[in-house]
Amino acid sequence: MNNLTSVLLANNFHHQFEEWGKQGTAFPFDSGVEQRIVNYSIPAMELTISYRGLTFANYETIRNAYENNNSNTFIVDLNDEATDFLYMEADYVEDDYVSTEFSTIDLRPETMTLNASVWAFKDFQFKIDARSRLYTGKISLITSVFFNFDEYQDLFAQSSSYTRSESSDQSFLNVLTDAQPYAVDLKYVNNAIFSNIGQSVRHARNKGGLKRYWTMYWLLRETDFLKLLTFYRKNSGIMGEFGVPDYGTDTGVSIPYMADDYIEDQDDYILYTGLSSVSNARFQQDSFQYQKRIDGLFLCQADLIEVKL
Amino acid sequence: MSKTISSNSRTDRQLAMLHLFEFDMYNFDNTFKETLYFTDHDIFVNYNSIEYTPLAITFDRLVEDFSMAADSINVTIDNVNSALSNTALSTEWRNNRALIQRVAYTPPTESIKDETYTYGYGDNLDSYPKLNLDSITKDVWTLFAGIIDTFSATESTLQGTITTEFNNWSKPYPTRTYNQNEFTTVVGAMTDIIYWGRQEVA
Repeated sequence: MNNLTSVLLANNFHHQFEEWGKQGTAFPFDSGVEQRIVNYSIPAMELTISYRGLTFANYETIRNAYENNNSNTFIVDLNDEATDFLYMEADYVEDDYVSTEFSTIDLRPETMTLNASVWAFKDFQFKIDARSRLYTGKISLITSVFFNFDEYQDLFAQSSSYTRSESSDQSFLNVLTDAQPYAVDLKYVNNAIFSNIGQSVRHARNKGGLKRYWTMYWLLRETDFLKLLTFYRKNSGIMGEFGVPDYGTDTGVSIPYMADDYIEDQDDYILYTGLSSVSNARFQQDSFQYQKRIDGLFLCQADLIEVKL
Repeated sequence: MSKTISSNSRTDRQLAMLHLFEFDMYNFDNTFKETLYFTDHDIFVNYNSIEYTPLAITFDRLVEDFSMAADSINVTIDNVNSALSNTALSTEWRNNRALIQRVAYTPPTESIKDETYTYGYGDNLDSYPKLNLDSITKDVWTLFAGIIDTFSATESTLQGTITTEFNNWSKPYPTRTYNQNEFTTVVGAMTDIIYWGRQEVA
């Protein structure tokens, strides 16, 4: 079982927990006395880890961990000190970090066995915008009776698979060179099946088909908007497939930052990773929305989803 | 087969409940293959030296008509790892014994880091987590005994219908199975001293 402690607990600034206790039913008698029946006896916990100010390399490490473990369980030991604290933007106070000493939260490594703190991914959402060119996002983990014991793992065998659909198509890149988004959301569509007992998520079956999902946001002048609109009309729906780039490395082209309703600096880029990381994708059906503003600029967004070859 | 709830009714009237399921599997040549043991508890359950595997398994409420007979119930079993549908298609479920037992038990106490939790989770946590019913206070009674009639499987669930044997169909309800509404409708008419048809044992 993979240990993602050092990967997921680095560069984070906030942990949010939600914990469920024992569940059952209470029946009041006419006398007012309650008979309580406990049906689900194992507590469950959801942990949302937030990240801020990640470079592409930081983000890529977390993304690779997600892609390689999207449907299986893995170890995150909250008792382990993370050595690498979050990146601080200038706006934030210097000691704005979370200590990762959680010895009283997850007792499993102490009461059961080392590396018994086993979790699974529930959600993965990041965003990059042209202002900072840094990644902000959060991942959600869930845990309950994911035990790192042969008896459980053999019965409920889990695996994960992801192979990116590569593309050599540059038609959308040509559009993006002019119609440059100011922000991109990055997430995934997960095809795995999870099953439950009570509050406990027990088992995930990897069905393959994990897909990248982008939401792009634009603020464009009419000429650039019309290029994007034309491209959408040619390629929208289920028939069109084209190459969509990843964003955030130090080489490549694209995406100016726009603020105060005008183009501030054409050199203020989010950069994409070049042709080697272009994924085969299409517009999510009927996802293109746009508004014409009174200043003549067009505000629009579209969802794109990876298509498996 | 009794319905004794005595020592499990704690003074604060909290008890834990789980169900044990047994399904007999036969090969297609009608020779016995194995008995599948499942539980709807969160972790493995040991009872009478048999290990019950935790699965997401539910069953319909028993419904009896004015003849006071319960004919069949539907059982839904998690099939996410496809193990059950593979078994179901390679062996004969139909016309074989099925048993549902209800266990009311006192959750065992547990000490973790000098703190004692009155309602613990299980034992043998350092080998692998399981609940051993043999060593804790409990009452076990049969909720439904019958034969498997039909089953159907999808990618995520396997559903079966369990039917009482024909020669039991006309038997009155209380001797064979119990209404799951017992905690509300029956008890609601009683005082807190007399419930579940019995006098409370303090």
